[in-house]
Amino acid sequence: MKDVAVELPLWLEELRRTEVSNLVRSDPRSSGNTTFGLNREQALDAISWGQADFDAPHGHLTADDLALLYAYWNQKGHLEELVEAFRQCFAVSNTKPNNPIVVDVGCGPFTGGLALATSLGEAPFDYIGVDRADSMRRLGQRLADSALVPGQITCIWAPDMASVEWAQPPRWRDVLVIVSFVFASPSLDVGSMCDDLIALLRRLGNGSVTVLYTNSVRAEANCGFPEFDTRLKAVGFRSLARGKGEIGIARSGGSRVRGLWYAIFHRPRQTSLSLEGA
Amino acid sequence: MRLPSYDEIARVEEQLDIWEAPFDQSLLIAGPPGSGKTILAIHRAQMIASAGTQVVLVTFSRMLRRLIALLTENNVPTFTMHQFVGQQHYRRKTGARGAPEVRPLVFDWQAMSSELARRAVRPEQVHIIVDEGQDLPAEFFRYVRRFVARTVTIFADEDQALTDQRSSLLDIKRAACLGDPILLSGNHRNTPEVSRLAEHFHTGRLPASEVHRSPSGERPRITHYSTLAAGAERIANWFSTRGGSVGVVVVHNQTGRQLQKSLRDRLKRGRVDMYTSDQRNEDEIDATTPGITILNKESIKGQEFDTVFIMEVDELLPCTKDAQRRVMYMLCARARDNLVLMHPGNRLPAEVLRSLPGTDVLERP
Repeated sequence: MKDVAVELPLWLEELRRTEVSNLVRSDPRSSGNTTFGLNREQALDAISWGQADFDAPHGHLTADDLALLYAYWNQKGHLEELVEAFRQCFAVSNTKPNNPIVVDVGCGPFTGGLALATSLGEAPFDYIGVDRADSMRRLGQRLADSALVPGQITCIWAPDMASVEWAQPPRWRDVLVIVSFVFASPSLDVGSMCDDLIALLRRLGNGSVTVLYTNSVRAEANCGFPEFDTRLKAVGFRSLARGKGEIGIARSGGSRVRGLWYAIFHRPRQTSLSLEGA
Repeated sequence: MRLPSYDEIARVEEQLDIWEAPFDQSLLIAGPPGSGKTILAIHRAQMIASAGTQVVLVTFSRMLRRLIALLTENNVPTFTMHQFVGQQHYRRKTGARGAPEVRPLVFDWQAMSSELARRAVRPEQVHIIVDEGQDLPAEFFRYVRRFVARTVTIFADEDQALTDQRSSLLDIKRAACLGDPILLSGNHRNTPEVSRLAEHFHTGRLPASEVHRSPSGERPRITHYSTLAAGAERIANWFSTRGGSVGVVVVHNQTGRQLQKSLRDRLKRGRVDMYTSDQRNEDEIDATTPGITILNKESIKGQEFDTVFIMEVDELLPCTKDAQRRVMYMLCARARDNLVLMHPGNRLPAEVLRSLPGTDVLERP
């Protein structure tokens, strides 16, 4: 990763302004230095730094308020990380996926979809957003439906991977899996998540699969990674890159560097059909 | 169908991998319609034969055996399963004619196996290549590996199987003691428009094919015909205008015979052939040349035509079971460029239309 500040495109800044910032700022509970009546620390505490149950109201905040607060305070940084990660990911694989299927595990408010739309421009893709919180999926869908988002993106939303209503037959399309800051959740069962992911990938087809993992650099946030790594390798993935990285981000107080932990896994097209395990 | 050159095959890496697989390696290969299974079967057979190993091609139907004979100019021994097993029984056992059957056209595999085992018959240095393996019983593959051939290459697509008595890929793998199937992904036959309609009926676990041809701008269509004569008129007009190879699928052979007469009355030039298993007239037909070939849904397997008319679709639609979907999937995928579904009667029933894709995929009157 590099230390030059990542810039989000104008359409994305405008989208965040109209669909997130303006809604928060214009709320009667908000004032000059509060969002929904909470200062920054209180707001981040309300969303548990991104790990809250976003369907459970918190004090005077509704579930939709919490999702909006998350988008206001947390999403921009994740967008910057993913935009930079995609840039490097596609550089590693030396090509961009052609009309891929994107599986965004723990998608939040369409974060991976927005970052990929930034990277792919007008190119189409199917997006499967998986998040257990209804409020996150509602906000994600609203952002995805905006005319500001470029390209032709077909979205499917589901509370978990087993519930994804994928009606198409298995194909040879490339799949991109985003697992971003999911492992920070203390309730995550990595084994079950891997089982569900592998089952979903089987439903999608036999195309190549690239998995992008990003997370905080904190060791405890990545304690599930070794199992994830082992499970992916057991089904034919190999690790293309991993490590601690830094990205430069620009804020009103000036640019600064933020660290993150990342990994990229890849599995080529499955040209052999595993019959016994089907 | 035209046999592609090595250069053309070499451009398709997955096909080259199969063509260049060691000749003494047994393979199971699965691929969607138009992925080149028959072509690869022929090429592999020719390569193995040229290396001095005895090779035999085995197919499901007499029409496919005929097609392979035309494409290879009869230089590779090719049989239907029934011909092959009958011949083997005669040669490998006592000289007795006719392999034992539990009923007509259904072999008594247990009796055959017991007899061959008693005579300590062992597989020989011969390579058996099977096309359309999904329509052959698993017992055949067990029989081949145990008593006939040390090496086999089997091409199959379980998603195109005609009946519920088919062999799945897993059945074939186990019966023939093979590894997991190699998958072919490309569709080199259908236009994207034809493939989209075929995919509407696709059911099963093989991934949908990647279509390599460019769009033609001509969508498949469904139409109706008030009488069979009116249906024949439409086909005759098409052939007179567009030419090429035209395949006409019928559900009932009686319909086919009436259609053949009606078409011959209307067309001054051009061949109008019909194959039926009771006539066994496949060797009189060259379906690779321009003309009209009338076939039922069993005998059209493995064939391809520039244009395909599927008659009597009232008996094929709507598809309520996977077996029906597999039939429609296979039938639609016979068409290279143009596909017309023909429904008898004065209108298209609402339940049929509801079961079909929208007008972006299938034109309607």
